Amino acid sequence: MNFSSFGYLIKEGFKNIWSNRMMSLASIGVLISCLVLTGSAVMLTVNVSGIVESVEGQNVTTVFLDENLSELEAVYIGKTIEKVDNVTDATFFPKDEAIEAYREALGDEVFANMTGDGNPLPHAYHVTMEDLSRYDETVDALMAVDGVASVSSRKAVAEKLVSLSSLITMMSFWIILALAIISLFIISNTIRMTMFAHRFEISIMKSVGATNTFVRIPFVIEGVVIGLVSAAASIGLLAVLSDAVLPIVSDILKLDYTPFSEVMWPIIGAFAAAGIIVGSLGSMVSIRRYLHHEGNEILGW
Amino acid sequence: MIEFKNVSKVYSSNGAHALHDVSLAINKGEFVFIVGSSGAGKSTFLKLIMHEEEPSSGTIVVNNMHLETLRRSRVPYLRRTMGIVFQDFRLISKMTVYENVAFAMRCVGKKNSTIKKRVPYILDLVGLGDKANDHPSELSGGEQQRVSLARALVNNPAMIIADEPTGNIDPEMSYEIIELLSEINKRGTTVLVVTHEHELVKSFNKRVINIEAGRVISDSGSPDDYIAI
Repeated sequence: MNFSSFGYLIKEGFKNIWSNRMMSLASIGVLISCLVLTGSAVMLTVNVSGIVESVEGQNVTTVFLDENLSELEAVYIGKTIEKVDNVTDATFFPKDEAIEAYREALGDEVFANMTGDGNPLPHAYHVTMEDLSRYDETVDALMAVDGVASVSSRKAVAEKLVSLSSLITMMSFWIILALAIISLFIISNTIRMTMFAHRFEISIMKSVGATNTFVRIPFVIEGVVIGLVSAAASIGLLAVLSDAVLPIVSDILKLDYTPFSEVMWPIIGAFAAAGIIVGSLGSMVSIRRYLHHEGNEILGW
Repeated sequence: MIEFKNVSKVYSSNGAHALHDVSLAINKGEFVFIVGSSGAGKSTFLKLIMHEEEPSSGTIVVNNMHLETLRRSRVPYLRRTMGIVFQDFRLISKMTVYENVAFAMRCVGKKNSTIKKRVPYILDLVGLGDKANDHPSELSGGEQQRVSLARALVNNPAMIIADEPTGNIDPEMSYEIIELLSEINKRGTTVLVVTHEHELVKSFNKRVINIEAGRVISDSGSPDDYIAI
């Protein structure tokens, strides 16, 4: 195909959009809705994962050592605790500090005689885990350390966080899949309408010897342009929405958030690719019928 | 150029026998009228040549292409060897005369520079050089058919197939169209005209193939033979 043919076909693709502008606009509107919802699902997933990671970082499990251990022995056991797999940090929490904390919270009278040898609390470590989904095995490993008496259970919190994150990821996947199918359907219907309007030209094209590729190109261009315009508008809209909503939610929850600008480029890439793929696939699906029909069949006569 | 050997066509949709065991040959440079009553099988005959339909049995060769083995991707190249003229002109109303003719060249990937040279030449040939910027709705039936003929000719095909080209125009214009086709034939292009206008056929001393009930009932070299049958 020479340059002037290609230029002509691109021009025809844009002319198709203009001549079928109401339907094209409707498709762009629906596609923008689908892409913004998809983008929102992505932003939600990214932010919930970020929150889970942040809470995981803050999540401190207390490991209580055997009673009657000296401070020196407790420090020695701490070296072993630090080496346990999945433990990122182990901070020593001596029993004197623990009783002091209780005294500040509950009053001097109750804990007046509980200092020195009279302190009933054991030495402890505040342990941070890297991956909360491995909570059980890490607790088992900690319990196996000689001198460890018990581990405070935060299992429920850990499990809830991990399952929330998985749920959101899974829901996002299904939402994105459903919206991709809807988008494909919308684009293919738009192109089908354009093709119906151009069936007369298509029948002439085929009768004078145009190849199927030649007939197909303007419609594929139409689909791709609709997809790309929708992608560009969705990116802009998503950026505005993210910048408006995320700081407010973050302020209410007192949690850090991932701004749109940090994940912008992968989203732009994914939306542009989605626009091109959905646009070209949608038009390919619609044009099949016309390419397999001949003469008056194309015109429905 | 065109060779049918024992060709039959049965439409699977309704079981209609459109053609029965048709064998004939049309050579390069011939001018042939295909005549027959409505439903005789003339349209099926043309559809088989254009490869819009496939025969139920028999073999067809058109412009050295064996249609029974022709791949789908090669069909456009078969059609580029023929120019089609339709009874209802099939012109694109939003395009000018020039654009309608140029459209056929664009569809086969011709360059703009070639189109700019070739289209005015062909429009002059069919006597429409001064109507290039008119739209089809501004033309008479005869003129519209000339545009259709110009579009069929513009890619320099080896063969012109005209399906009832005079069906929608007055008798005087009809004569002119056949005259024009005859002129084109004299330049070496094979011409096939499907018609049911007996008077028109009688006016030209050409080969006439008469199809009735899906069979070739006569194939004559002159209109006198045609009348005798």
